[in-house]
Amino acid sequence: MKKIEKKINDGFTRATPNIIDGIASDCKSRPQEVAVKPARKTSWGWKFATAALALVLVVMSVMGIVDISAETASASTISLDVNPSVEIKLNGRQRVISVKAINSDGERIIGDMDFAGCQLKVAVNAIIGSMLRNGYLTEMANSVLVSVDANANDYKELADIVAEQITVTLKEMQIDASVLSQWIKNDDAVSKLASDYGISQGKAQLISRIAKVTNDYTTEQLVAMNVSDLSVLLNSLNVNLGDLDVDQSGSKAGIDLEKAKEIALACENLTVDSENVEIFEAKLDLGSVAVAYEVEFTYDNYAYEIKVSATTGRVLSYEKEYFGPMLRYDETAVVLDKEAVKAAALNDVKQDLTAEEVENLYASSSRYYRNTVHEISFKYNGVFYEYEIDSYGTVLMKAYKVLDLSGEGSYLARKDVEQWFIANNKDGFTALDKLSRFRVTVEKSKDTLFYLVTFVYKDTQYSYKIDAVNKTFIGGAEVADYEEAVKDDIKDKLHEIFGDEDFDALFENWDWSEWDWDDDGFECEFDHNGHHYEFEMDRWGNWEYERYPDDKPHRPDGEHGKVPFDYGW
Amino acid sequence: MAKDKSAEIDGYISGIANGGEGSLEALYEITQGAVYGYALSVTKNVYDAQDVLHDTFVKVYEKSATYVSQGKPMAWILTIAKNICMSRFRQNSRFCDIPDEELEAQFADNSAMSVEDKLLVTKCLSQLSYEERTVVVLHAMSGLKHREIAKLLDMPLATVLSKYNRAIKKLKTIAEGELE
Repeated sequence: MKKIEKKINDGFTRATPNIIDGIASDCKSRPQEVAVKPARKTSWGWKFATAALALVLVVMSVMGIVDISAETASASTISLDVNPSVEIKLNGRQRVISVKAINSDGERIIGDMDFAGCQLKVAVNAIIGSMLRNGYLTEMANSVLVSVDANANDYKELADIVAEQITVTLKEMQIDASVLSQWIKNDDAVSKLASDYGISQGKAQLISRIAKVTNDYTTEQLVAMNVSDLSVLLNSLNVNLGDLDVDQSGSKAGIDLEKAKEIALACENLTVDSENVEIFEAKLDLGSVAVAYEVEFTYDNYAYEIKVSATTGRVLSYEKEYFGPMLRYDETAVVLDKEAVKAAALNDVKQDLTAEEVENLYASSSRYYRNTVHEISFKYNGVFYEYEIDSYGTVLMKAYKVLDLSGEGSYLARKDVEQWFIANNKDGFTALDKLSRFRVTVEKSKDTLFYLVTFVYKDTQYSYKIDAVNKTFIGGAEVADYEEAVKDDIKDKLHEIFGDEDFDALFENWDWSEWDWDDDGFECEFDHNGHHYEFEMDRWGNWEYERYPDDKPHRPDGEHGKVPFDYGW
Repeated sequence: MAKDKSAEIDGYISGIANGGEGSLEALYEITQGAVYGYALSVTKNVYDAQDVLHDTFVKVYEKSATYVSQGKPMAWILTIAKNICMSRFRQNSRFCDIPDEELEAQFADNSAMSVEDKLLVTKCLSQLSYEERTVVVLHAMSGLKHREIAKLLDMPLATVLSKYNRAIKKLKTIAEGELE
């Protein structure tokens, strides 16, 4: 733990009041919820497959027939890393012996696909296709690390086959691939790193190489990065990693980090050598504005955060904030009125700029410490400006953001989000009517304004973030992790309630799109044996359902009996 | 967070579920700082934070029997705290806003805190943005990894890392200038 963190820990720990007596006494009068949840079962397909495999292995070993023939002996291993990591074992004839998931994302990718005996190309196509469908590979996250553990002669051939197939598969989805290929060298330290963090040998090797040339990232941070992040990082470090073949034809990075710093500092007529400039962070920001360098520095009591497009080198956004000592003014200081402050802000953008020349001019005032602070925002020349200026004319905050990044239009309007999503997603969603529970919400953070698009397709909830300013996807689709687990739980619960026979009948025509969830949990509705059911389960596995004896809305007595689970079952 | 600590917390939650004597107290002892620290970062107000602390442990008590261990009990507890914060926020539309210059006065009666503690906690609340202070306090207090914090706060990992680094940097600057 860092020294400063230790201080924070001490400070907050000592700040914590001791109220356990009050809590304990309140708890006495509260009912505890009753545990009704059975131990989670693993998904049934896997359970069966695992059991069957175990049985086969047991029989084989008992009979002493585990024979490593030429067909099954592993001649080479290829790992593919994106964020999902999978490992393909090949025999001497370059046929697949097995494909193994290295992490849980990898498990999702492989699913129940069986690759034994198939050609390497076919396996790569299927795996990359699955990564695309599951949103791990997108236009913005397009890097795949290919690591080959084979003899020197086979390395080049295998790496080429795999890289070519990845390029072809991604090309079909109009995505330019960025493939990094490397030859795995046996290294105990790398093997330990791989096993300590549960990552592939290939990713471990790449990370340990990056760690040798920069101290800016901890091992943990590097492990947490997906391969696209690592690829961009490699590019930004601008180092030669020896025999790492980097095909970054698809890479989006147009300028390097040093250039980005230069551009950012030039906003204040500074250079990296200027006195009192302290750059404390400069890296690609993959989280908000896609593929932009974020340069943060301090100078003269202001903290700056400037985003520079990695593609064009243009300053996309600028923010400076006062962080110096509390401002005190003496009695002679001139107090400016709102109009004067407004004029100062306009003048800062362009000399003699008038209120009539800008759009959306907005001004309000609030208190900050003991001063009045005027907040002014407006749009001028395709750029959105925000100022916070105190009544003595000191700029506490200045920010601007280029709105028109594509040269056509500005924000992606809310009304256009649905059509934009259908037109621009790379995951094969081509019509809204195939997507249930389609929702668009506007999310605002300090850095960005984006739309969160969520919907359910088949048995998966997808969520996408669309940067409203840049009109780009922020990352790829996110698939809710807990969904499958909750579904399994609900299946198990319904199985328990209905018994084998009814359960099979119920699930024969089950439509997973009839699911919905909100902050509190998951809901599903279904009809069974003339009853209508509404079943809910929260994230912690607490559940309840209501059964309506008659689902016909025209029941003569007009009453629908609610039957909570505890009654009569 | 360290596995052995998670196992210990798991044990106490299961103890609470089974009516074990002293389990609630033991759980409170080792997790109160993280819950309160988080609540204080969100609310910036000792009264609201104390309420969140109280409600969180009562909720933990109520839910303990339905808790299914996935090896991340701290994240579970903090998710409860987060939901309570959010629901209070929704109910009141905002937390009682205490002006920055009065933040330190909130701790005036706390004799456990040193002058340095009070200054640092106050600076944490006033000089760091909401996201910066929640990230840095969660990291310092709960032992959650950045990745787990990202999941808890529903923020991209890259953002969490950048907020964290920025917050640490700011705090160091403050500490150098004012505390040492």
